[in-house]
Amino acid sequence: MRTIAQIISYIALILLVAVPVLFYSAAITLERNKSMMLIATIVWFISAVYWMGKEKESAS
Amino acid sequence: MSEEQQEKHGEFEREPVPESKTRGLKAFVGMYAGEHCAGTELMIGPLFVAAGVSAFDVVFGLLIGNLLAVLSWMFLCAPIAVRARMTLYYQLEKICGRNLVTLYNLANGVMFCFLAGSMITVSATALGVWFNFPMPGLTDIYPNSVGWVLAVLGVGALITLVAAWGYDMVSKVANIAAPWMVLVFLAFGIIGMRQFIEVTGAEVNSLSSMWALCKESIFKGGDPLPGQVKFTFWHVTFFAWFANMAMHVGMSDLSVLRFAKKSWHGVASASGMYVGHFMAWIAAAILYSLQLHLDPSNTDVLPGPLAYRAAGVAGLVCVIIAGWTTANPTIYRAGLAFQAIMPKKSRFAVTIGTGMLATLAGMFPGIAMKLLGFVALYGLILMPMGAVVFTDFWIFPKLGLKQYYAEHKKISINWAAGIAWIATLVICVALVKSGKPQFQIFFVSLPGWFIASGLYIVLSKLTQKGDA
Repeated sequence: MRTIAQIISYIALILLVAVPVLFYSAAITLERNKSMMLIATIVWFISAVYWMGKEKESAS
Repeated sequence: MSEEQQEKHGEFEREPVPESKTRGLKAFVGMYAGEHCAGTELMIGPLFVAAGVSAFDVVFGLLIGNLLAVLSWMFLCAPIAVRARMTLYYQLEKICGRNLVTLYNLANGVMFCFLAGSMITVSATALGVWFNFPMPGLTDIYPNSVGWVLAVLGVGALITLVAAWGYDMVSKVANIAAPWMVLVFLAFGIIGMRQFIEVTGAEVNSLSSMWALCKESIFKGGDPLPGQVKFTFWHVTFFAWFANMAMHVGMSDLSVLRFAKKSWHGVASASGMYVGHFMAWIAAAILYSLQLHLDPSNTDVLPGPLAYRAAGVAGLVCVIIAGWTTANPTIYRAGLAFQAIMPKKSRFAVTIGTGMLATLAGMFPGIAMKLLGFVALYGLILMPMGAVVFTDFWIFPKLGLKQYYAEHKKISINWAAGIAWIATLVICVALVKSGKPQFQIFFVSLPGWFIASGLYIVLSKLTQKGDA
């Protein structure tokens, strides 16, 4: 479960960079860019809270 | 006090951190990246543009200034932190005596509160976009609407509760938000560049054409906006170096790096400098420059609207969280400073009080709008005590002078340290007031450090005369 959460988190981060790059290359509009960044943000916080918290607990 | 009691009391505020509680490089990389990729970066970048920086000055000034800052953490602060493993406040108490350190802690805590307040200000500008209340302009000093006061109050209360929970909670929030936040800042820069290309009609297909766009449209140089100081290469370099002077040269980060396993872990500060104080400052500057390009009369530096125009709701969330994760460790540090004055109070209670003070400061936008000057002043005020700690730790044994003199003599005030601190500030203020460009507030801390060290040595030789 933790591994799945990590994979989802990394995908969210990749999306967060890829979307502005697509906007830079004029492949998507600014509005599309904004909504995709919001989705990536939501996904990151839901998934990262899960596995980053667990990582700290097991390390301490 | 046992280790268990220490942990209940706080986090080894009055004992060296034991080896078992030290942390690896990774913990500090995340902490520094999160702390220095913050809401205030969205103020500083735009203020550079308002100060009329050119492309060369901002890029190369930041590269060199940030390198000097990292070296200061690595070679001034961290080596003492991992050897003594004490908070700055406890170490100063041993050097300066209880009464003098109380005065220092008061100054330090108040400065941290103002800094945290400006971070809360930044986060509150994001709420202004959502709730559409009147927000402060570049020249505003006092709160200008009920909505603004309520927004600052809400953000401040949330930040205070998290900071009161302790270092681990602060570290956890910063660590989770840091990677996301860094990429949102990067996105600001990419989006801003694209928007600049669209509005100027420039053709950007190589590094040289991008540099041309930077020189001709984004960082045009020339005169600053009315009321702003003109920034040159040297201003940018020294500002980047001294932006966190209180933390590295001033030794505040002894309290953080005392948890580091090795002194070279001070290199972790590079994550904060080059991500936060290079990439993020430039990204924020691009957004503000675009705003000026589209409407030269709109000089407001409001991170919320700037971020919203570029990245929508994700941008706004970034502004809130960026302010939050920076204010957290700042309130935590201020809490440590105040707790050193009131050691019997719990750190939780002290941090709550500190957060309330920071929230009050955040309601006054004048602090955030004058952030460049405030940051330089803040470093100057705290720097002399960093010089005292450095000199006491490294130079005194070589000169045969007694370290930790106040503890040794059981005195409540070490006049050598006290006079060195106050006299340095008086001399530096006089130099700034002289009006000579080389002694502007942004530069004066460099000679100030040597003045403080020299005074402390000379005065200690006098006060320790006759001691066995």
